[in-house]
Amino acid sequence: MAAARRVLNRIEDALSGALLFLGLAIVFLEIVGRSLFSASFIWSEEVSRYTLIWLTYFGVAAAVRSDSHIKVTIFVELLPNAAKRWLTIASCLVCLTYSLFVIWYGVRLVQDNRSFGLMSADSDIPIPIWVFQMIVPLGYIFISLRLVERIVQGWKDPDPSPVRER
Amino acid sequence: MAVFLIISLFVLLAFGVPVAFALGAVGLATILLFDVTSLTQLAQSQFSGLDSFVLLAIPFFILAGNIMVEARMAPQLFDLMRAVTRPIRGGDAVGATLSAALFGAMTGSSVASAAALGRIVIPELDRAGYPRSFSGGLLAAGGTLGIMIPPSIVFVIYGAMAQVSVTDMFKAGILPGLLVTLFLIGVTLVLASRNRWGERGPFFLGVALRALARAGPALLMPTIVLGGIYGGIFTPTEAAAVSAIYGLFIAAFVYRSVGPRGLAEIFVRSAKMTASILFIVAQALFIGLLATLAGIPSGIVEAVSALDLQPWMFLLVVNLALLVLGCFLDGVTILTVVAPLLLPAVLALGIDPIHFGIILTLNIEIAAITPPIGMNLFVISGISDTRPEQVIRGVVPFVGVMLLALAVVTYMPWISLAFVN
Repeated sequence: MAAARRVLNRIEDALSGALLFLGLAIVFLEIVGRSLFSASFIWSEEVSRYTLIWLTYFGVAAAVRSDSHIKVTIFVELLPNAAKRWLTIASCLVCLTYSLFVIWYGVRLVQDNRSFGLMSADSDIPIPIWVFQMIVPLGYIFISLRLVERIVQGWKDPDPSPVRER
Repeated sequence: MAVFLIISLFVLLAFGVPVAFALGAVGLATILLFDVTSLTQLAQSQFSGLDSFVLLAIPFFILAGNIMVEARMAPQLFDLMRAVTRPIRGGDAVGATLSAALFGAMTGSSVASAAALGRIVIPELDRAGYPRSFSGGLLAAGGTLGIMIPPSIVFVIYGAMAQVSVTDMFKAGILPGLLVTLFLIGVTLVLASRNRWGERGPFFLGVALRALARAGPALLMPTIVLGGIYGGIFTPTEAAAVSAIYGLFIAAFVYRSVGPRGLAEIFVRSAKMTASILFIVAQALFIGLLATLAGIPSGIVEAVSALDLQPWMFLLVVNLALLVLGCFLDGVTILTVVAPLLLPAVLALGIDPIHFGIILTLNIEIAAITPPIGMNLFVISGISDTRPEQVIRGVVPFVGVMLLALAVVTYMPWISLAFVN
């Protein structure tokens, strides 16, 4: 279990960092190509946009793990610890419900666009759009795993504050 | 439906559900209850909301900012500024404000500026005899220049939400950013001379020139970024990429302050910071759609015309409301959720949306240094081992002049629009 968690941590961190690097490299190469060799790649803008979307959802899962999502805490801080713990669990359940819906309808979105054979809108890359859109269900599966992990943690551990990382 | 949207969102936020998930869950519940659009549309929005080349500037600016913090460019800038301002009373503190402004021209975020500079500058100001509450307040306020002086992540998000050109926003921020800088320096000079803080020092040309040489590579960064954008050579996204690459280059080869492992860690951290912002953006875009279907923005337009509000009254009401909201909500939420609701009314009253974006930004700056949630206060308190109450006490005069700056910027639109065609 702990080993699986470590692997998951690695995957999220490595993927989100690597995708950021990839996006940066693509945009930079496009600038260099355009200004030095007046060569422009039609696909570069589109692919760099997709790296942004993919890195976002892996990053969101990682931010659930470290509880670093932006939230309003001033009212919750007023409550006693026991209430805080149950509220954290309830809050994670709300997030999980939402995520499960998005996974379900994300799968349908991918299936629909696959059966329509929809291609990318504005370039000639030979990859259909549903391949890129798979991040919606995939990303939310990662997010849901993290939410389940936090719910289990909150259940077992009376101290609701997770380990902070920076 | 409008009532349901607003109340359920407030309840979830108050119970501490993360903003992005709260927005998403409210959107889900609204579709299930009112059947206004399909759930596939919700899933689609998770992809299409972020499918934007403009938003790609955000991770690059965050990355560039983190590199600058790790590369320890802050001390070089502070040494340079201090070498020049030393001959006046309070010179060290004025130098700190000017470094904050320069840092603002290099990074796009306010917390990063406050943290990077505070760590270097506060110990130096201690040594020069300034009380901790003053230096903490100064650095908390100075850090907010990061989002007003271009480049700015706030401008990128606003540009994407309000459909205005990010380049125009970057042009509009110049004078308001300088105005706030001057106001902060004004307070510093008054307090320093009244309390006799900060002895005058001699000016040495050699010291200044040596500091300039050392800060040179860092100073070139805003020159490239802003010059490239204003000169029409780069789009903001490309300029952000160039600044990140340039930052990587000088961190690795000139200042040699970051190793390969450090770099990998910076990429991962920047990706996470990007994710928590863009996740909110995606959910806010979808909620904005539902709010439009529920008639909230058009309701605000009708209310404004029914009350016969003049533009100046509307802006006064909005500023007061934002100052209150800023006590509960962070800047990204105000920008992505609240601003789009107000925009139709802004346009109906003939207020320039770029001018409105600058007003919003100044409100977000003020929210960052006012309790209870002002992030910069707690960042400064954390890095300098000062109690938050002390920083809060010290920031009061700076909040005062920033409110004054807000009034000036609100009622003198040309300050924001001078460089925009």
